[in-house]
Amino acid sequence: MTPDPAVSITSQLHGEKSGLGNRRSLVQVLRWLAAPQLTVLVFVLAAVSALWISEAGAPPTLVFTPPLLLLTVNLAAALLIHPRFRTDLPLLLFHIALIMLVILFFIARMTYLEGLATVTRGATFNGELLRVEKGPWHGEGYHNLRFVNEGFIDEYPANGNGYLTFNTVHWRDVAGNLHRRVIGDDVPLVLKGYRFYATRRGFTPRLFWQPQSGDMQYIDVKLPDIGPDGWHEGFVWTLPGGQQAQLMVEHKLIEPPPGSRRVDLGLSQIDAPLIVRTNEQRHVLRPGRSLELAGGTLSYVKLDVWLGYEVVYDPTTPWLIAVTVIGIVSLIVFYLKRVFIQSTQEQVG
Amino acid sequence: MTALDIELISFWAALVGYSLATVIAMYALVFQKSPERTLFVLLLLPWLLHTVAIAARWVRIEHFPVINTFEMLSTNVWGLMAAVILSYCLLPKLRMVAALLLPFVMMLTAWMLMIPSDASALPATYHTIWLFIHIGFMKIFLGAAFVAVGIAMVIFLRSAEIGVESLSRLPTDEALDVTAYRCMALAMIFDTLGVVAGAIWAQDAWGRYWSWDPLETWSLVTWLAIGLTLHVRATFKPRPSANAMLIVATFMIAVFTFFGIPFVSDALHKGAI
Repeated sequence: MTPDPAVSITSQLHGEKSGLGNRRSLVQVLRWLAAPQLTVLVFVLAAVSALWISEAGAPPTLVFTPPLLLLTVNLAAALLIHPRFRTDLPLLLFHIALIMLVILFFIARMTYLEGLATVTRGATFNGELLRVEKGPWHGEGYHNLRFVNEGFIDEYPANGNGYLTFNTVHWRDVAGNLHRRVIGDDVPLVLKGYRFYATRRGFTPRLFWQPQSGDMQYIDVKLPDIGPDGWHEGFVWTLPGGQQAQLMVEHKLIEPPPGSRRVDLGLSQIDAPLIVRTNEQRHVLRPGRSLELAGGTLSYVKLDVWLGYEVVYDPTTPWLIAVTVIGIVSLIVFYLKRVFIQSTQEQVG
Repeated sequence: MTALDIELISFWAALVGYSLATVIAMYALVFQKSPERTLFVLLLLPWLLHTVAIAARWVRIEHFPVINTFEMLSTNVWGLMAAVILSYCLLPKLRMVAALLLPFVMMLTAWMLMIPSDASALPATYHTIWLFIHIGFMKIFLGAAFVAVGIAMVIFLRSAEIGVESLSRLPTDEALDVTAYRCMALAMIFDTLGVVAGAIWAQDAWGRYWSWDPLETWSLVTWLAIGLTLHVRATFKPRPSANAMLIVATFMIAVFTFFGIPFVSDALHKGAI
């Protein structure tokens, strides 16, 4: 009589000292965990979880973890209990690749970072993110990243919609060497694994604030994004002295015709003044002019532009690609062997 | 003759040819005739004309025409017809299955004729080789699943005792089940490749390989449905009619993913829209 391979494997796992009863109960548990019915449940649960995330906005990590965990347990138990996996290398590799993917997804959620930064033209990214979402294992290393936004060009294709962003940036590497690159909407700047993609944009009035006592401060105020109507949204700014002021650049941004380019939102052609509203009073400021306010003097230097950057970091991506390639190649070899070569006798046609 | 003229003439000639092929295939099935050579010509010639129409449109609008609804439907009709022709050549005993597949193609064609055929504009992030890779794999996947569903329909109709006499010339349910399984295995491979290619494209373009947008989610659900269909057949060895039911259900999910989701979602990733 052929020995039960599952019993033999579990006895190797537990050693000869384990009792026969323990071994049998362990085998029973493994059999239950490796049950193909459980795999069916994983498929259904994964589909339901995916739809719940997409349609109801449920938190992806929380909702998709149970089916992935169940999948890992089911596959791992199946690898131990079913001899077929050990005799069929492509099948074994495919299922190991699936388990590896689950492990990598877990590491990815622990280490990822997604954020948003805005940098004024000519200014240096100082490592601060306006919005940041990151895994618990992600450190604070991104605060040390530096690059300079040299300005951007929007190109409106003759035969296309939207625009392509060409943003020139420069940075220094660890050795102090200067690097310059043009990045864009889908061409990122990659610094130490962090990927910066150009995204939203807007105006930046550059101002000086001279308090009644104390040193003068230089301030860039980043006005909100330009809306689809060509105007930026209303913006209430709190001055260093605590007073609130509504800032607005009275300029409607008109989309250029297809086949043209626009440099820095067409800044060189903009002659609009800065409107400052305080205490029901409307002030019109031109570059070089100042405004006396309670607590100090506000001077308008010039109008500039800012560019937003989506920042993403995921160290697992190359590993995910490698494991996926192994999984796909295994899948193809498995089906080539099992379905397209071995079952030719059953072929129809 | 301009590219537009070539496109329009080829396109309409192709549609007339597809319609004729559908009528003849259904006539042959119902009246148990075998006009195999005529039908093959009526499948291949319109398909070649359709290829010319797509190529002319490509030249005219200066990019791969897979962006708006009309172009998406047109290229999917082209892809499904390619699958029908390939199965017609590779599976000669199953040529009658074309009669069950072509009405679906005609439904898509009718839909295509009811929408504007304006030239599309290419979004910025679509200037990449991954557009061709991703869409190419997905078209092969849908074609393979389409042939599988045609075969499954035969098993399904027989088990429901519909058109048993007309379908009696086809191989046994067990033999059909094996071929349908092979097609679904091909569908699984190319769907996996398509999803992975899409993820690589998304990672490259937006820094994220997965965003849980409706189309991505439904493509995952489709992948899981194919996986479930193959798993159930390999593990539980059910009757061919049960497998056929699973294949039809999987194809319905794939159809919803391909043709339904881009019309109910306005997310960034809207497939070919």
